[in-house]
Amino acid sequence: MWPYILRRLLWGIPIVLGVTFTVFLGLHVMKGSPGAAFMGKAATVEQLEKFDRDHGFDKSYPEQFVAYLGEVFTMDFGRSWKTDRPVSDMISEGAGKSISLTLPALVLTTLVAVCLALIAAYFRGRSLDRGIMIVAVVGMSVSFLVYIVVLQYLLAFLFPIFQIHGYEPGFWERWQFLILPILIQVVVGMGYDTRFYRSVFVEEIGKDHITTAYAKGASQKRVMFVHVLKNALIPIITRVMISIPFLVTGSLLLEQFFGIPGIGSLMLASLDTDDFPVIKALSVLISMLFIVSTILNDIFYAVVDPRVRLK
Amino acid sequence: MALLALCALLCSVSCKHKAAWEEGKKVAHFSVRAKLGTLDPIRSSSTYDNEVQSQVYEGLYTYKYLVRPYQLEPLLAKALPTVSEDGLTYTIDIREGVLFHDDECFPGGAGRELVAKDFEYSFKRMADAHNQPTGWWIFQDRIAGFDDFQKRMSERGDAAFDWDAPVEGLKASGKYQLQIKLVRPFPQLLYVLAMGYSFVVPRECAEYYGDRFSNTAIGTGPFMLRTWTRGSRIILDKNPSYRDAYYPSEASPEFQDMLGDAGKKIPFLDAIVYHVYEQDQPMWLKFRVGDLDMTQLPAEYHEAVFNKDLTLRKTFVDAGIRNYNLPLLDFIYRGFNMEDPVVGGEKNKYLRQAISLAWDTKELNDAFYNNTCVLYDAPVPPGLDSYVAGVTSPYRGPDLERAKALMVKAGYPEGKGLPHLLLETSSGGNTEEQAEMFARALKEIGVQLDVNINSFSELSTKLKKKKAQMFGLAWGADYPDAENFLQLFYGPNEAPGSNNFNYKNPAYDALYDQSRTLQPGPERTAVYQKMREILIEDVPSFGHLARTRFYLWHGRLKNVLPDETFDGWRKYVNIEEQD
Amino acid sequence: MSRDGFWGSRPVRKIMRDRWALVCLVIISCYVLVALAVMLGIFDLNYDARIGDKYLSPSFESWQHLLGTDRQGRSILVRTIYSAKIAIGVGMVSALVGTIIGGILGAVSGYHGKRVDDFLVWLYSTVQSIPYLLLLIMLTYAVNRGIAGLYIAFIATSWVGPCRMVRGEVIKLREAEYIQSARAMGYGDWRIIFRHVLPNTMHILLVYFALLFVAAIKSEVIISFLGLGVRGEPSWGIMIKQSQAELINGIYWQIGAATVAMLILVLCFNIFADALQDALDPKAL
Repeated sequence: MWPYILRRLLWGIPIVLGVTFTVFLGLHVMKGSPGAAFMGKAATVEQLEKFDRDHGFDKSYPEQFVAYLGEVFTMDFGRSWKTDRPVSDMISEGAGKSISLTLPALVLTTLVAVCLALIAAYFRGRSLDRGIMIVAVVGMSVSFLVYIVVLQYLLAFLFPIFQIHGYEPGFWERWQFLILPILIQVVVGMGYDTRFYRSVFVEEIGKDHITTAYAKGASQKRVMFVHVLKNALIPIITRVMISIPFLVTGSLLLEQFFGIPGIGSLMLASLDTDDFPVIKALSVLISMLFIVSTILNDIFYAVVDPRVRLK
Repeated sequence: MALLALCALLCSVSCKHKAAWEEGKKVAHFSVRAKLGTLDPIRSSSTYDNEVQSQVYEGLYTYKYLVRPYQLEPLLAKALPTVSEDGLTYTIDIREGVLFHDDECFPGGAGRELVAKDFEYSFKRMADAHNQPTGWWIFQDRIAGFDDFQKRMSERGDAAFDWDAPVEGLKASGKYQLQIKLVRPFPQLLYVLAMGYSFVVPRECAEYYGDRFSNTAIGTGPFMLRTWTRGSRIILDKNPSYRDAYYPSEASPEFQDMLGDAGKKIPFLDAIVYHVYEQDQPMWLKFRVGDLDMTQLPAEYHEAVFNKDLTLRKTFVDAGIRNYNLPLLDFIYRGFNMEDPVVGGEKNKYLRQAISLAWDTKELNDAFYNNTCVLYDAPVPPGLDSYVAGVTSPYRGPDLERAKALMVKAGYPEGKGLPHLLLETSSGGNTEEQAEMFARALKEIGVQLDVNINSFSELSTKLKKKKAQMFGLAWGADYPDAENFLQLFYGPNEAPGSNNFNYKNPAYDALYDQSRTLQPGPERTAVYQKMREILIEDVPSFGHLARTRFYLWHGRLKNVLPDETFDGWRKYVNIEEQD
Repeated sequence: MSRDGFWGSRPVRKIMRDRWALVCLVIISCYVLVALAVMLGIFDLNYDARIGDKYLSPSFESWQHLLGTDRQGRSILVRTIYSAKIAIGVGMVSALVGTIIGGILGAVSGYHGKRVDDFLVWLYSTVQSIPYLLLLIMLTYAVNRGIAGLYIAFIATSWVGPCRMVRGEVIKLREAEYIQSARAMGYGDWRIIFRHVLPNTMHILLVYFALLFVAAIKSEVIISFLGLGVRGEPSWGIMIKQSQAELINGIYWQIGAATVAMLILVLCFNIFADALQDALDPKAL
C-alpha cells in the first residue's frame, strides 16, 4: 500500500509545477506589475519603480519564477499586498467559513439526492419516477443567480424566515445566517446528484445478484435498501470525495450575496485588486487539494478492489 | 418539510437580530458597499476606507458640520493658522491635552498625549514608498525640502530611512506648534490638511505593529477599533477618554432645525457597526427591515423609493424613513488623449466637437441615474464657487445635424475614412451598458466605436502610458475647491500625472499659473472663466455629470447631515432613546 | 454500436420511440435555427433600438412590446431572441471543440500509453486543478475580455471531461480482439484510432456533447455577472445581470424572459441527454 501511495504522491509534483507555471505565466508575464493599482491615482514613476523593486518585478522572468517556486516549496507565501496580513491566516480563516457553508450543503444534498434517487429507481418508469426526474431537471436548468436573488427576497424579506445577510464567527451563532445559503446550494445541487444516483441504482438493480436475491424471495424493499444501496456505496463515496476541493473553494455567489467572508469571495477580491500573493497561494493550495482528493479516491478504490494496486 | 420546520424553529429563537452587548446602548449600524482595504490613513484607496478611518483618526482641520458652502474649522489645531506675509509660512498651534487611544504599543498601555512632532512623523510617512502611500501627491512639490527628503530616503532603501532627518519646511517648532514652509503659495493647503491622508498616527504604534499597522487603528478620534472581521464587519466603540468636544451651535439657515443637541458633549453613540456588503440587494433588504440604520440608496432601487421630484415616496415617509440628497462634487466624463493622432491635437478639434454633439448626456442621465445628475460643461461642478449655472457649451449634444456638419469639416463625411475609435473604460456597475449606449449614439454620425473594458489598474496603467485613445472616468473632489478640477488639464501635469488628457495649451497653462496663488474670490473666478472657455472650445472631455447621492436613514437616528467631503461627522449622530 | 445503418441502429430506434426526447429535439432545433438566422442576419433584429419608455410592462401594443422594455427602453423580446445566438454559439463551440479535442486526445492517450499518455494525463490534471475562476480571468488577460476570451476559456476547460472518459474507455478497448487484429493487419495507428477506436467511444462523446452544451450556457450567466462575458450585444447572462436588481421593484419581465428562454433550452438538452444516454449505454457516466 505505502509504495503505491508514495508513487501517487510523487506523480502530484509535476502537476503542482504545471499549475505554478500557468499561474506565473498569467500573472507575471501576461499581466505584469500591478503597482498602479496599489499606489493610487497620483502615483509617480519613482513610486512605481520602487514598488517593482520591492516585489521583484525588476528581475528577469526565470528569477521571478524561481522565487515563486521557492514560496511553493516552503509553503510560505508571505503577506497580502492589500491587507498586509499573512496569506496563510487569510486562507485558513476563509476556509473555515466556506466549509461551514459547503460541508452541510454537501451532506444534505447527498442525503436528499440518494433518497429521491432510491424512490425514483424503485418506481422506475412510473409517474412518480417521471415526476421526481422532471423536478430534478427543471431545478438544475435555472441559473444559480436567479435562485439566489429570488429566494433571498422571498424567504428572508417577504416572508422573513431566514436572515438576509451577515455572519457571526461563533460556532453556534453562525448557523442562523447559513441556513438559507445552504438550502439554496442544496436546491441547486440536488438535480445533478439525483439523476446520477438514480442511474447508479438502476444499473445495480439490473445486476445478477439482485435478480438472485429476488429469486430467493427477499422483499422488494429489503433488496432495495440492503443489496442495492450497499453496492451503490462505492460510486456514492467516490462522488462525495471528488467534491472535497470544492468544499474549500466555496461558492462565490452565495458568499457575495449572503456576506460570508469565505474563500470564494477572497479569491474574487484578490483577483479584483491584483493581490498576487493571495492569488498565487490560493491557486497552488487548491490544486494540491485536488491532487490529494484524487489520491484519496484512488486509495479508496485500491482498498475496495486490491487488483488496482498491481497496475 | 421537517427541515423547514427545524429552520423556522432555529430562526424564531435567533431572528431578532441584536447582539447581547447592544442592550441598552446607542449602537448605530452603517454599511460600506465594498470590502475595506486598509485602516492606514496614508494608504486609503476608497471612500469607504476613508469613512471608517475618519471615525478613529483625526487631522488638524475639518469642515463645519452644519454650514454650507463648506467652511474649515480647527479639529486638532487650536485655531486657523497664522500665515506669513508672503503666504509661505504657516504656523499651526496644536490642541493640548489630546490623548491617543489606549493600546499595548504605548508604555503601560495608556494613550500618550498628542504633540506637534506626531504630525511631522505622520506626514513623513508619506515620503516612504515602502508604506505604499496613495496620497504623496498632496505634499509633492509643495513643502520646502520635502521632495528632496523623499528622494534621499528612497535612495537609501527601507532599512536606513531616517525619520529624524530634518525637513526644512516641516518641523515641530514647539511641543504644541507645527510650522510648514511652502515652496510657493498654495491657498489649498488647509484643505489638504483636512483630508484623510493628513490624519495623525502615533509613531510608537506604527513602529510597534510594523507591517501589520494597517490592520489596527490607534488615533485620537471619537471612536476606537474593537474588532475587524475581514470582509464582514467592523465594530467601533466610543472613545471613553475623548476630549471635551461639543455639538455645534452654528448652522446655515437651512439646517437651523438640527441644533437641538447644540452644546452637548459628543460623541453620542456608544458604538458603530459597519457592515460590509458586496451586493446591493442584501444591503437594501437589510435597510428595509431596519437592521441597518442608514444606507446609500443603490441606483436600481431609486424609482421605487423616490417620486419624480426627488422627494421620498409616501410609503417610505410613513415608515419613518428620512432622506438627504447629497450633490457630489463629482466630475464624470469621457475624455480624449490629446496626443493621439486620430482624435487629439488642434487639427482634430472638429471631430471631438462632433462626437460631443452626437452624445446625449441627458439620455444617459435618464437611463442610468434616474435624472438625478447635474449636467454641466466645464470641469467645475456645481457647488463650487467658480461654477456658473445656466451657461451651456455650444457643443453639448444631441445635435446630430451640426455633428454631421462638423464631421464633414473634420474630413470624415459620414464617418468615411475614419478608423474605428477605441473607448477604454473600467469594469463594474453599469459601465458596459453605458458604453453600449455611447457606441450607439456615435453610429448615428458614422463613427464606429469599439469598447474595451479594463480592470481599474489596467485602465490606469494605460492612462499613465498615454495608451488610451478615449476613456471614461470619474474624478471625485479631494477638497471643495475648483483648482482640484482645473489642474486636471494643466500641461505639466500630463501623464503619468493627473492630466490624463495630456492636454497642453500654453494659454490655459499661463492662466493656471496665474490663478495658482490667488485666494478664492472674484479675481480668481474671472481667471477660471477664461480657462473654462478654452476647455469648452477644445473639447478634451465631454459629457460631464455630477452625481447625487441619496442617503436614507430610519427616523430613530438624529442629527444626520450626510456628507462625503469630510467623513468625521458620525460623532454628531444621535439615537433617540428607545422605550 | 450495432452496424445496420444509422436509422436502423438500436439507439436511434429507441430515441425515435421516446416521445419526450423527440419533442425536446424539435425545440432544440428551433433554438438552433433561430440562432442561425440571427447569425446570418436573416432576422433583422435591432436589439439596441428604443421602442418606447423605460420599464414598460409586457403589452400587446406591437410584437416588440410583448415582453416589455428594459432600462433603456429596448425591446426585451428582441433582445431575448437575439441572445439565442450567443447561447447556441457558446454552447456549440464549447461542446463541439471540447468533444473533438477531448475525444482525439483521450483516444491517442489511451491507445499509445507511455510518454504520450503521461504527458496528456499531466496536461488535463493541471488544467483541471487550477480553480476555474482563476483560469478564466487569466485567459481574459491574455486574449482581452469579450466573446473571444469567453470561447477560449470554454475550449481550454471543456476538453478535460471527455478526454478523461475516452481515455479510460480506450484503455479497455485497446486489448479488444478486433483492435488487435487490425494491428496485426498492419494498419497505421491513426487509421486504427479514427476508424476503430473513436467510433466505439461515440456514446461517451455524444452524452458529453449535451453536458458541455448545457454547462457552457449556464456558465455564461455567471461569467457575465462577473463582468467577463460578451460585449456590445445582449446575451441571457447579460440580461439577467442587468435586471437582477430590478426584480424586487416588481420588474420581473427581463429576468423572467431570459430565465425562461434559458430554462427551456437547458431543460430540453438535459432530457434529451438522458434519453441519449439511456439509448446508447445504460451505464452511468
